[in-house]
Amino acid sequence: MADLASRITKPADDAAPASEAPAAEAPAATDAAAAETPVGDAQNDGAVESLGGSGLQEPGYEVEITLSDLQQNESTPFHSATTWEDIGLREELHKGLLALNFLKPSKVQGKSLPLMLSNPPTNMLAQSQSGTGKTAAFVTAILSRVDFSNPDQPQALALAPSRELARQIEEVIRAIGHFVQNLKIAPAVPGALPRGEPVRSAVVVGTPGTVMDIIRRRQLDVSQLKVLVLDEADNMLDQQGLGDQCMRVKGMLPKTIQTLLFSATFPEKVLQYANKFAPNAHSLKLQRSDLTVKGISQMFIDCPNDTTKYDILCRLYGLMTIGQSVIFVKTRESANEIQRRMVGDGHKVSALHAAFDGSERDELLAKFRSGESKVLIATNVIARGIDVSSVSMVINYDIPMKGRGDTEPDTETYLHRIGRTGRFGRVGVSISFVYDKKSYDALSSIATHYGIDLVKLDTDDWDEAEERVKDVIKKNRAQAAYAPSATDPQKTGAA
Amino acid sequence: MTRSSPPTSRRSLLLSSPDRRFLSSFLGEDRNTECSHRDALEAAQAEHDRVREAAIRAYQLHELELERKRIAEAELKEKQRLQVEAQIAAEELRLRELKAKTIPKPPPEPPSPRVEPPPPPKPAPAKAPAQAPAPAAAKPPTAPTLGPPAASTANAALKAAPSTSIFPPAAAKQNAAPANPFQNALSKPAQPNNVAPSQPTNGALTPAKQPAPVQSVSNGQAANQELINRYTEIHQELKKLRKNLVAESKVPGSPMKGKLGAYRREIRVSIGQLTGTKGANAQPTNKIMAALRDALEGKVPSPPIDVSRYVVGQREPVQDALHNDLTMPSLFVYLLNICAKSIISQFINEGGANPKSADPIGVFTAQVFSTKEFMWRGQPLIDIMMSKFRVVCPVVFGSRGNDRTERGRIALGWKKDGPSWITEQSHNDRMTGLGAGFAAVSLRDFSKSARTNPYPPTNYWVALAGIVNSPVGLISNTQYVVLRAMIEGYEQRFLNFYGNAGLAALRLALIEFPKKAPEHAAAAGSLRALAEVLRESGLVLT
Repeated sequence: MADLASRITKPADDAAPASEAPAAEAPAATDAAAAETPVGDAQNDGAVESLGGSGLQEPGYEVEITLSDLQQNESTPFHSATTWEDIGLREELHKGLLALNFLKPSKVQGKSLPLMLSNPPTNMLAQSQSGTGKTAAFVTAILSRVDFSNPDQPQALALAPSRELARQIEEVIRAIGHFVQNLKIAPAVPGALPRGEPVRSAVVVGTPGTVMDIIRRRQLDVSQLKVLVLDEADNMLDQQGLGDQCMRVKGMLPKTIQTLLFSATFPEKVLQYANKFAPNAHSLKLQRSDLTVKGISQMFIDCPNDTTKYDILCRLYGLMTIGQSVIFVKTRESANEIQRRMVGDGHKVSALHAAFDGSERDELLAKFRSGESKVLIATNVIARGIDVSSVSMVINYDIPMKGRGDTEPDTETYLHRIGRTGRFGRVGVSISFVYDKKSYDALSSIATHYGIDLVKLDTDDWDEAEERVKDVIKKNRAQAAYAPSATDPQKTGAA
Repeated sequence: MTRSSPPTSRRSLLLSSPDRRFLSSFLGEDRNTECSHRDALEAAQAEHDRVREAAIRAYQLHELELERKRIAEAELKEKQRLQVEAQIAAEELRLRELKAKTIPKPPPEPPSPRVEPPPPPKPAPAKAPAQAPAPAAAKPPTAPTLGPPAASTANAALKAAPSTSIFPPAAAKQNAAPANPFQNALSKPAQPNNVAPSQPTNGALTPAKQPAPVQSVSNGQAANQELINRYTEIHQELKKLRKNLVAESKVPGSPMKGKLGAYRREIRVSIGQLTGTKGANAQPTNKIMAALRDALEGKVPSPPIDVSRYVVGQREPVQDALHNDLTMPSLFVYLLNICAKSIISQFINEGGANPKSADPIGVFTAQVFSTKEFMWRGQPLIDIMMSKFRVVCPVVFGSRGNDRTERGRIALGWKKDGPSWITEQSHNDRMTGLGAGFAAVSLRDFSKSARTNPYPPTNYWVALAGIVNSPVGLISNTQYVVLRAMIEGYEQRFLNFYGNAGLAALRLALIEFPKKAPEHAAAAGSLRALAEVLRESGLVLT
């Protein structure tokens, strides 16, 4: 696979571990012997390790790679980097990444960064599961492209579908760019920029609407912009409003700008549109069956009726060790009700829904992020992108639906919701509640769509349920260790 | 001599008021009455007291001044020593690097090994003559460990051999700066135990309350191994207990039926609810304490069990202890065990992603284990928790290993999932959470509390020393990951406890130790980056 390619292109890397080869060989042999039993695939991992490759036991997932114009340009370094040194980042960025404890590039980072940083700049479309380090990948690209000797001149623009997400990206840029002198970031979200003043920051992060406004009002000088990033790109290009806005923003930017599209999901029709938006892009895509993060144990509970749901919800917290958790509900009324009851039970809870305005939402989310509250109850506002790394359980209190009158199961939202847990290959559990035929059918159609093996959790005997959850997590983790999955040894996102 | 007057003048001043009264009444009729005598006596007594107090104050001031000077002097010496030590360490490292280059791969760079040997002698005489023999001694132990590290890892913690490397220079320098016994502790590899000697001399800086660990530790590696063996036994005993009780609770008609699991889950929920907000943890804490009390008071009856199986060392009944019997209810021990399990699990699952979350759990841990009711024969039952901790994170107990070998991984506490090891990322996550958790438990400040610290800061020191003093061949990424997690966010607490000695230790951990890192040990880089972040916040180590 790609590992092979990397080995060919980087002989130097092989020379160093050579000295360790004798030491590593022995365990590899034992490993193989041990793995003989049920798990054939594990042997591969052992072998990679003994060759002193990227590291030990790194799980892999299949990535389809189409390289535009690769044939014409044989010198294109097609390799995926396994260390930050391979990518050749500037010293400050490398240090910033290490300070955040990002010790090595994740798969998506290792594969996309060399492509994004190659010259001449080429467009890129990258798909990778939730929580695999997309944000850190494009932030690193942005910070590598910007010339900080000219810190007041806008040079990079990142767009996100919501203010929360834009804010989060801003924080990630700040964190990774911690050691960069003169780093200035302008948040182009409603109410954050002073009116009428020109933007004097090298990096601009915002929502499409606000960005469009400030370009029109000539607050933002776009002439020197080198990079444009669309996070959650499918969402940005698909939604009528946002898609339009993005296209218009793009139209106002220099023609030579390098466009980078990132998302966990890219439905077919968006893909075609995306090719227009970012022509001749390198693309990094996933098979549909690889979309869900295998490390997340997905379960469901068949509640006898709507009213028992709450009782069951609260008892779930005793079944396993939970760091933080997110509960998705349909209406803000039920959000408030669940909050009230959980607070009574000693939980620290924030409820986030559209009844709060932007800055209140920022604040609630900040509280959750800092760990001050450990349970977040949310309507769909944060299904996408928001990264709180210690979320270990996501509950679908209501199954996500779309269409008029909520007739259709919303498969993409389901995926983004459960993607709030299991970040960076951590253990994550998602539990969906069904209680009638409609919700049951919706969930099973989602499961069929992604080929998920949903496990039913019986709650008649909690001792047994506890055992069951333990088994499921164990089995899932073992599977994640060698099955195609996003359990990639890297982290990103808001630290 | 005007200088001689102060005492007299002061006396007259002090005396003045009673004196005048006395004089004025001198000619009075009642001058010989008992009453006036009493007055005079009283005045004299008061005067005497005043003078005495003044003298004592002066004496104390003088003593404080002396103490201040002494500390300043010690500080100066410490600084000088640090400088010299840094130089030596740098030389030593350079030398070792050269050695490392020459040994593993002579074929790739044949010219360099030829060139390299000269440098060592060169710098050595320049800086410290004592150093020259040291590297020579260091070389033999390092070379074999690089080759078959697997063989040595199991006993890694106990190996004295590699320690010889830095020993001689350290000893030599000690003569130069006798005020700093501290340096043994850090510069002798392989012996967390050496911390003991450092304690008495750092007395001024370190908290005075560390007698227990000193005992267990000062006997050297044997004691450490004994402790580890005992922890292993306790761990096994706890497993047995758990199995037995769970089986028993399933027997129809057992009083524990249904209760055991309910308590267990309640404890798990409550520990998951702990946060860093002040005052927010009362409800979960009380819930857990109530569950433990229920078990203790027999609200849910359970068979009594011999508690000595779950503690290190012998305990005799002591006065004032609430539980002096040989036994306690088994449900209580079980629930305390569940508490420990949940705490550790929370460190792993939440602390790995967000190390800050470990701190409130550390507070809670200290609270539970320092509660008198939950002690046995006057001492905390924290061994129950530490025996588990030893299994999941042996690195803080001085275990070492090469993470590229099977045995090395076992020594490092690398977990297995079925037949294969967990991923590197998962392992690093666990170690991060556990490192932060260890600091959260062992760096609690009990100076304002009437309770005794169940796991005092000496344990942190020993763990830190055990990691920093790893011999080169047995350093792996894991140690750097744990070390970073132990330090990040706890540097201030550590310094509060250990003052200058702590500063020197941090220097070693953040500046020197990363230099020993094997190539591409990325976590060493992250330790260096942490040093820079700390510098920005005002902690300058170089």
